[in-house]
Amino acid sequence: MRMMSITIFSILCMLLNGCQKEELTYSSGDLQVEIVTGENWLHDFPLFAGFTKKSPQFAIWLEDTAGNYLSTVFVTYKTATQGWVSSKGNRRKESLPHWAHQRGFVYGDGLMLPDKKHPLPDGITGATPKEGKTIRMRINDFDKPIVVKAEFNHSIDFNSFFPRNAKEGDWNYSGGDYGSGQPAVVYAITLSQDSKLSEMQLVGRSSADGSDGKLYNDLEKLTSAKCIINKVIVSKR
Amino acid sequence: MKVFLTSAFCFFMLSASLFGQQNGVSFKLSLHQAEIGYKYIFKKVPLEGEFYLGAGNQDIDGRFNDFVSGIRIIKPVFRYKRNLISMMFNTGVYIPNNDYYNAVTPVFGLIAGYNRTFDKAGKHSLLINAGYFLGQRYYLQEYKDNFGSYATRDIFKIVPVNIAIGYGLNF
Repeated sequence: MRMMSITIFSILCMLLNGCQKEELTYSSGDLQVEIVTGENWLHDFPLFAGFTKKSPQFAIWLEDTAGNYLSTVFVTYKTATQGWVSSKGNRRKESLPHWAHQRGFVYGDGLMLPDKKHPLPDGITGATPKEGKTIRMRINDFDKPIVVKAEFNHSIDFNSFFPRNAKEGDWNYSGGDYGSGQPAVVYAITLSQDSKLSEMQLVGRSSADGSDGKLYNDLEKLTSAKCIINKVIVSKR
Repeated sequence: MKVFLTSAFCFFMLSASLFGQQNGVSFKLSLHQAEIGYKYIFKKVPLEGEFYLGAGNQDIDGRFNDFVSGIRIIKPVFRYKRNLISMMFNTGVYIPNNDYYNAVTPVFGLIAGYNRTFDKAGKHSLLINAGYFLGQRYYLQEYKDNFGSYATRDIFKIVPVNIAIGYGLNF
């Protein structure tokens, strides 16, 4: 009887602990980054006998105004840990190439993405959200302006400009059957101490096959990729 | 797997002192959970109780190394020859096991259970459970480096529908 009571008491304690709510609190001067999802935030992905809805991979990071990488704020789990399920060993270097190249860390196989043995040590590694995302940033030294960038990408998001049958070496090759299709889109905003409420601007798309970290401005070739997000708002609390 | 084996050991150590009369043990498996259970038939009320321990894979890394435990109150509702249908109320806890967040999550559920014995003595049975579960927990993640500190809030949710199949040994 005593053991049963201890067991029930332990389970009740765990249940009560589980009911506590964790809140994101802000202090004066904190920055809030809010991702508002677009109509293409959830994308069909084939799984077993049907389809499932997948959220995009994305990364948020900081640079200085000269374009030098400073810090990673947030990266989704599969990119941060090579946690791909259906990629058949493909490391998906085309997923977030601008972030990867800006970060500049080369791994054992020559690619710039974290792998299973060396998951991303910087920033927050988080689950890919089905809905929007809010992140609090507290910048230590805000004397100089900083650039906040965000890169978003869906896999198998093909269109007529970036088709599934593009061959390796073609300008629009994006990693084959399980590649990106349309390349990642990059948003950016420059913030200073006086900034209040700002909306990140679409500044370009990444390399289709992930072979470089450049930004390309032929955004007319993107269709659904421009609708992954509605907007990213950065505000000062 | 280590979590599962450790849980099984603790379960059997605990169960002998928990119940005076042993009524049945079971093993159930679904896409998201593997568990062992201990069922006791109450003498004075027409109810059964089950205590279960196991492992799940519903968190961010998808590995079968999360901890699950709980109790079920079982009401048999229909019996015909070797077939038994029961309704169960489940209350328990799901504890994700990963390097990225802590989210001890309470779980509640309603389960319809089917039990078919396949020997005359009723010792061995096939078990099928289909349940609807509620469980969610908000959690915070934070990171600091030389440039600043960053934080975000996310939610861990239990998969609402779960179908499990298993084996029961009654004694």
